[in-house]
Amino acid sequence: MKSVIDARVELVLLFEMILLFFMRLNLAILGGYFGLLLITIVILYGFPSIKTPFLGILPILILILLLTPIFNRSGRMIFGLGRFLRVTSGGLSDAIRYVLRLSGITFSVFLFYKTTEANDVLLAFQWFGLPFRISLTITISLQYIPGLIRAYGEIMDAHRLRVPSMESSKRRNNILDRFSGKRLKGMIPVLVALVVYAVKRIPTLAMALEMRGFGRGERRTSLLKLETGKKFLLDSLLGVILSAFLIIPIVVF
Amino acid sequence: MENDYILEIKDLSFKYPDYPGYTSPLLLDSLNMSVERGSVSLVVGRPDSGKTSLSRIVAGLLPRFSGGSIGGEVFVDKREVLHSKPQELIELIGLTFQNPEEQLLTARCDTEVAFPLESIGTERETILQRVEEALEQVGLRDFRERTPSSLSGGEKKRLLIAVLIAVNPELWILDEIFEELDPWFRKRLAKIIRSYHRSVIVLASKWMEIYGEICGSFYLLKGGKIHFCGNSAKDFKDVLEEEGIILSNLEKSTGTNVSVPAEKKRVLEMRDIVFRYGKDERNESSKEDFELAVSRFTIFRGEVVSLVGRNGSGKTTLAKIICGLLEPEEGEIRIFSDEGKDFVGGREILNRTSGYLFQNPDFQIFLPTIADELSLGLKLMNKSEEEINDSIGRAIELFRLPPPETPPTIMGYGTKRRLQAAVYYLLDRRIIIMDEVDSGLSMDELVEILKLFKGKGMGIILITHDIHFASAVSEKVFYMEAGGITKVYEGKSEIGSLMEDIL
Amino acid sequence: MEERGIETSLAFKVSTITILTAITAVFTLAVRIPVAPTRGYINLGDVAIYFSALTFGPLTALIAGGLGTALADIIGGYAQYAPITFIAHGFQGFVIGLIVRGLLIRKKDEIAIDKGKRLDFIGLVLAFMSGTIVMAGVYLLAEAFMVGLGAALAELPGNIIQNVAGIAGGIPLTLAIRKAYPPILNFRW
Repeated sequence: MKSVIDARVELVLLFEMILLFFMRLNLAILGGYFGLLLITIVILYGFPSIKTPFLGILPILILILLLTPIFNRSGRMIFGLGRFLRVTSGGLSDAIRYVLRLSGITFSVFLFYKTTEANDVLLAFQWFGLPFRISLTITISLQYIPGLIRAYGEIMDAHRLRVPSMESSKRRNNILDRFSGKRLKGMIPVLVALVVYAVKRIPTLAMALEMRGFGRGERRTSLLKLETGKKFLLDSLLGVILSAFLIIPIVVF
Repeated sequence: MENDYILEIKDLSFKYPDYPGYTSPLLLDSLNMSVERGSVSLVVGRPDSGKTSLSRIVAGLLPRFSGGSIGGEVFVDKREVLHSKPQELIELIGLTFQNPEEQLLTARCDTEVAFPLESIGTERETILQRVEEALEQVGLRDFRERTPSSLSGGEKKRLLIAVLIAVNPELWILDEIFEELDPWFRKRLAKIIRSYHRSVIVLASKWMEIYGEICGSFYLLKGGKIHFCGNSAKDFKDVLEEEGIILSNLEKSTGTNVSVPAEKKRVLEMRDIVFRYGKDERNESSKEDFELAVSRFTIFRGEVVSLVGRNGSGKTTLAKIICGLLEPEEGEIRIFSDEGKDFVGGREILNRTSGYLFQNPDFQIFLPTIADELSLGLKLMNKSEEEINDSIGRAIELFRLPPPETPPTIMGYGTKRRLQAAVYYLLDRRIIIMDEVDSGLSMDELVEILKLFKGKGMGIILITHDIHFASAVSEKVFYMEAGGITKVYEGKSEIGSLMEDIL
Repeated sequence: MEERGIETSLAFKVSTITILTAITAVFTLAVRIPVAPTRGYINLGDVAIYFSALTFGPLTALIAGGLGTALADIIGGYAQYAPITFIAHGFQGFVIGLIVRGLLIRKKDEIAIDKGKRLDFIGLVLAFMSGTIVMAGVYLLAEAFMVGLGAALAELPGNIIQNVAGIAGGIPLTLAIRKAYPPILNFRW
């Protein structure tokens, strides 16, 4: 899959979007931008696509709505129950602001994630000056993570065949047991096996890197390159227009 | 006239560092070896004999990344390597690791091949062209954008060969490269080796017929020294037979010395087992649902059976059901006691009935010392300290393990596999499952371990790709395909016909 | 024969950080322990960070701790938190590593926490307290901007529990690994 718009342009746009949602703008304007963002996502990927990111932040959205009014009691009272449970206009507008901010950022990141490819994003970061060794660290650890997760599963299995299983201790359902960290202690041998399995690969990975010429003096060349041709120019132009659209309210209001 | 040697090793000695409670043995002992430019050589050594360490010393990777003591001299193309940096030598020496996962770095096959070329500053146009050519040679051209971790073991090795071809160094060292490769690609690799005219050293722990076709010089690595064994494959095979690395008559060696119980007693029987995996549950490369269905599977006391079949045919799934790591959706598993009573085996009971030797012993070894590993299960069985110490001593002797205070994590692969076996031997499990047994253990060691297990009346299930080995040591071979047992071969004559059926 | 140690070349350092990043991400994503009321479970990402800091020192813990948890956020579908996570966990690791290295281990081969010295104990407590304060503090501050003080405060206890688990698991894990895999003591630089 190729990135829809050039990853460098998208990266700048994402930064501007996040900045925008952090600005203390008029709620109606923020809401408008958020609406446009949602419509873009729905047009591109359909309505069901927003379900997962929305469910991911739902608990926090509820917390915001419940707790924010407690900390801001300015403005007109909207309703109140007793001395503590009071919702004022100031509190409510704060709550809405935070809801818009979190949702705005979440869906901006979501759109970025959907429209770019991981490799391109790393290349874009490198273009903006991220050192090669850092992007290499990210690339390789992303390759190692699934393997380590599988190893963790296998180690748990192996452990289960040797010692009485953790499931049987769960059955006793001892609340104290849960808090006292016994469970954590029981896991130490499994974690040791996992970590030793992983750290043993430090020297082998270093060998692999040096066998591939890592650490030589020459300037690195690169097989993969972000485009510099017509598409990059067009994308940049689009980027400038969208940036203007995003920055105008910040300047005007 | 002076000979034109690509590799010259003079009086090379090496040992890994010592650690508290463990003195590392001298692995290489004044080793000498000279390899002529343009030759294809084979070095055979038992598991843990030091093949991999030797190859890494030659590439300048050891003792750089392990520490240890080293003496002697190594020259590659007249250049001294023991004090060189490996990254400066990559146009001179190329090395493929035995475990390809340890060598793969990037998220795509083409960038993987390009990586070393990028490091030495090759022009992009040249990289593109060489990557294309290299992937073409190993038959992975359509895999350019695939993630290397999604490839099968054999395909990963082919990718390593592509990296080697792209750089095309003077000396190629191929560590156990032929293992795991499909037969057609073994032939292709032989062709590649011939057509690139480089000096090649193949390292192996077992004999394969194809070595006779491609190699011109034969060496045995034993006792920390290299023994040159001439230029004839036939003579070399005789040497290997004498060393016990090729077993001339496998059946004889397992069958006789073990007393098979007169009447066959069942240990476990499963009926009408059905198990399903959803999409993506198994691994990223399988995008389809998988169903295992086995109508009947029985294991008897002291019996050796093999599960053979391609990757993804369900061998490991079946084995994991037998030892209770996976719960079947339908069907019943019954366990039979020695007195002939039988009962339904739930997962926890199955966990206690079977032992499972994982292919990667690192997953199974969690404790600081050998003694801890061996005694863990015994302590839980409430044995006395005396009994436990006795057992540890016995296991160390029977399975030829290092002293009890050795940390298992720093032992060689083969030693770790023997430790795994020793653990379950002491636990008196009634069924023992050995996954990919042929890796890390030599044939005679394996036969030795099988005898020990048989002697205890354990039912033994081998999971293996090596049909030759399976047919030689098993009393029954189950051939699996697409989640089912499609054929059962029983007895010598039927098992003999298995080879013809499959090969 | 000549005795040689491990050469901690650039490749070796990059490898170390890469592997620890992967370990931290896996501990965060996959290793979860159910606990009663609050969140339902805690992840052990902090255990990995404490291990990195105690074993490899501040800079490694900074990068591996920050990157590992941030990658876990991205993989787990919470990419919007990744920058905050990077800073919170990165500096958590950095502070612990710095105090442990600075106060406890003056010589390279000394294993401080194996000895029950009082200074070591106080140093460790100091290191862990600072780690907790830095991590929970960064989250509180950043989230106060992002979701408001109310919701940010609601997250605070969870973050502190995470840290407690990190301490409770991190020390025994570090000691057990040193015992089970002695070469790790040579991996430092």
